[in-house]
Amino acid sequence: MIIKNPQKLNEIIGQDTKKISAWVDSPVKKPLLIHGPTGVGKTSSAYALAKEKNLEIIELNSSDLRNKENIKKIIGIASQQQSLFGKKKLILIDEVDGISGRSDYGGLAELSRIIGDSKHKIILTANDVSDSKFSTLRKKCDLVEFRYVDYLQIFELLKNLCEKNKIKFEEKQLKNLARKNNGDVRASLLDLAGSIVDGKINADTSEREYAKNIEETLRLVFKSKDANILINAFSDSDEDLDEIFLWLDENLDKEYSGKDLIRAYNVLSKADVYRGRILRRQYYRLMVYQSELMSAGIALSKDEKKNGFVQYKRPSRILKMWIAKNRNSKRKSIAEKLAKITHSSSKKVYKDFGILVNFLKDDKIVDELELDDDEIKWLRGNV
Amino acid sequence: MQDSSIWIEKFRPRKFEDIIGQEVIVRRIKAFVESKNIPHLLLAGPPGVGKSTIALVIAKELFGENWRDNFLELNASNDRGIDVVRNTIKDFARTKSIGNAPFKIILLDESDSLTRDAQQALRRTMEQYSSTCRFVLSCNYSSRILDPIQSRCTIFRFKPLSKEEINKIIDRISKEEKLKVDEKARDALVYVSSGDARRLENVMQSCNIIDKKITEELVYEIVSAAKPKEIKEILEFAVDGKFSHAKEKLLDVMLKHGLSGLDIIKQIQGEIWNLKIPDNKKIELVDKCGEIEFRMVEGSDEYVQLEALIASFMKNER
Repeated sequence: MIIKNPQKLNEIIGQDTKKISAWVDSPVKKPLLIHGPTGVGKTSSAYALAKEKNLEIIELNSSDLRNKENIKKIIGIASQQQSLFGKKKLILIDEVDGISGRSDYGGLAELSRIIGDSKHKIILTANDVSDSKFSTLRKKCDLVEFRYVDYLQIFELLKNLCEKNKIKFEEKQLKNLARKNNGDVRASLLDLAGSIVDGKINADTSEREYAKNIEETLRLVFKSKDANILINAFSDSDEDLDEIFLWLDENLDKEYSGKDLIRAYNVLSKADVYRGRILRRQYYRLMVYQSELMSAGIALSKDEKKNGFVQYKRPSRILKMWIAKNRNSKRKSIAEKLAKITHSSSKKVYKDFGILVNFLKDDKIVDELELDDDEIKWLRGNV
Repeated sequence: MQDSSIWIEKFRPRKFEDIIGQEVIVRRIKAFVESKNIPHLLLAGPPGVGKSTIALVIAKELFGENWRDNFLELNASNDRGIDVVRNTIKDFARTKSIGNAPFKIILLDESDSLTRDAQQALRRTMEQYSSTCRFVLSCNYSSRILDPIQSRCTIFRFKPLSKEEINKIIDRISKEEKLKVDEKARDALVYVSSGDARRLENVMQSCNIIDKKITEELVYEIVSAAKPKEIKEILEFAVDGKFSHAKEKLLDVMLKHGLSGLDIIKQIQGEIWNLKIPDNKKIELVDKCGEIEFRMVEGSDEYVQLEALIASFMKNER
C-alpha cells in the first residue's frame, strides 16, 4: 500500500492549520516555527503548503551539515535570490532542535540572526524548543504548536485509507493501531502499512515503545484531553510516579489557571492521598488510581488548553528543603539543648523558637545551655 | 535550689503547694506520695499545664535530695524506638533503687509519640518490673496510648490553666522579677498563653529582655514576630488569583520558620474569617481545611495538600 503525503493543508489531521495558511498569505515576514511531538505533521504541513501555494521548497534538514558557514551559504543565498522559474520560495529548516552544538558549531546563533533578513517565507520545525538556547529563535518566530492527535481522528484516517485501497479490516484492529502510538500519526500509518498481509490486516503487529522523557509526558498531560491516550501516559515514561508527581506540582500553575487550576490541584491532592495510603499499607495496587488521577485526572481538569509555549521547570522543592534543613541545623541543635534542661519537647521548643530567641542570646543562658561557638554565632548573627 | 536563668526552670514549682491549678489531681497524687507508694501514672493533657512538673515533684518528695539517682527522664528528643524500651528502660528498671527509696521512677514524656512496637514492649516491662520501678507516662492525647498500657495506669487528665491561674503566675513572676504589667498587658498575656504556663513564661522572659514594663503592644509584638504574618499574605495572593506567588511564598515561609504543614493549616483556619470573601465561601473553605488537615495527619504530602487548599481560595471566575 502506498501512503501519499498530504497534498493540501486541510488533509493534515488534528492540527490547527488555518494559522499556517493565514501566515503564508499575510505580508508579515516573520518566520513560522512549528513545534510539537514526532509524527503529527509538522514537515508534511510545510510540503502541503508548498504544493497548495505552488512554492519552490528549499529544505535544510538534520542530514545536512548545519554549521554557521553552511547555514549562511544556503539560506543566505536562497533568501536573497529570486527563484529560477519565478516561483516563490519556501525555505524549510527542519528539526532545528537537532542542530548540534559541536559539529554544527555556530549554526543556531547564525540561524537566529539570519532568519529575520530573508525575502522569502521560512518555516522551521522542532520537537521541543523549551531549552533556553532557543529563546532568541522563539522570539523571532511566530509559534504554532502541533499536538498529539486524538486516536479517533487517526482511526478515521486509517479507515479511509483502507477503504480507498480496498483492504479488509475490522474496526477494532484499526482502533488499536490508532491508539497504541499515543497520537503519533506517522507511526500509526507505518504500522498500518506494515501490518497488511494479502490485502487484509494482520492483527499481531509489533508494539512501538516510546520512552518519552518526562517533559513530553508532562506536555501530553497538560495539552491533551484524550482520556484513552492519557491513561497510558505514564506507562511509556521511564520516570517513576513520584518524580512525575513533583514535576506536576512544580509546573501545574504554569499551564492552568482559574477554575482549571483549582480542579487540577484537587485531583493532584487526591492522587497524593492514594500515594500516602500506598506507603502506609504497602498496598501497591492503589498505584493505578494514583496514576490515572495524575494523568487523565489532571488533563481533564481543564476547560481549554493554554496555547503557546511553556517551559517546564525542574522540581525545586527537594533542593530548597535540603538547603533550609542545613540552614536550620543550628536552630535544631540549640532547641535540643534547651529541651533537655527544661523538661520540654525539642519539637515544641523548635517551633516556639521565635519567642525564645529574644532571651536565648543572653550570656548567662548561653553558658547554661553550653552552646558551642558556632551555635552562639548563629544565634547572635542570624536571628 | 534552682539557679537556672531560664524562667520556665527558675519558676518551676518544687513542692505540691507551689503548683498552680490542677487542684484535684495534685491532692490525689500527694496522697499517693504520702503513703510512699504510687501506681503507674498516665498524665494526659495539653502542653504547659504541669505534667512534667508533677512528675518531678513526685520524685523530689519521695527521694529527697538525691532524687536524680532513682529518676530517669526520657523525652521525645531521645530516640524512642523499641530498642530504647528494650535496653535503656529495662536496664534502669530492673536494678534495685539506690538509698532507701522504695522504687525508681521513669518519666516518659510525650509517650504518645512512642511507636506501637515500643508500646507493646513497654507493656511487658511495666508488669515485670513493677516491684522495683514505677512509670509516669505523659502525653497530649491518651487515645494514642495502647489500651493495655492505659489499663495498667491511673489516668489523670490535665486542663489548660484558667485565666485566674495564669494571673497568679503573672503575679508571682512579676513580683520576683520586678516587672510592671498593666491590666491590658495582663489580658494580652492571658490570651497569647491560652492556658499554657510554659508559653506564658517564655513570652514574659522575652518581654523582660526588651522592657521591664510590659505592655499589650510588647506582648503582641513578641508573639507576632514568632508567628509569621505571611500566612495572611499567602491567602490574599490566592484570593486575588496570584496563585504562583502564593505557592512560592508558602514554601519559603515553611522553610524559613521551620513550620510543618499542620502549623500552617492551623493559621490558615484562623485566617479564613478575616478574609474579604463571601461568607458561604468561607464555610466551604473551613470544610476543605478540615479535610486537608485530616489528610496530612494521615500522611499525605503536606506541600501538595496545602497548595490544593490554597488554590481553592481563588475566586472561581476567570
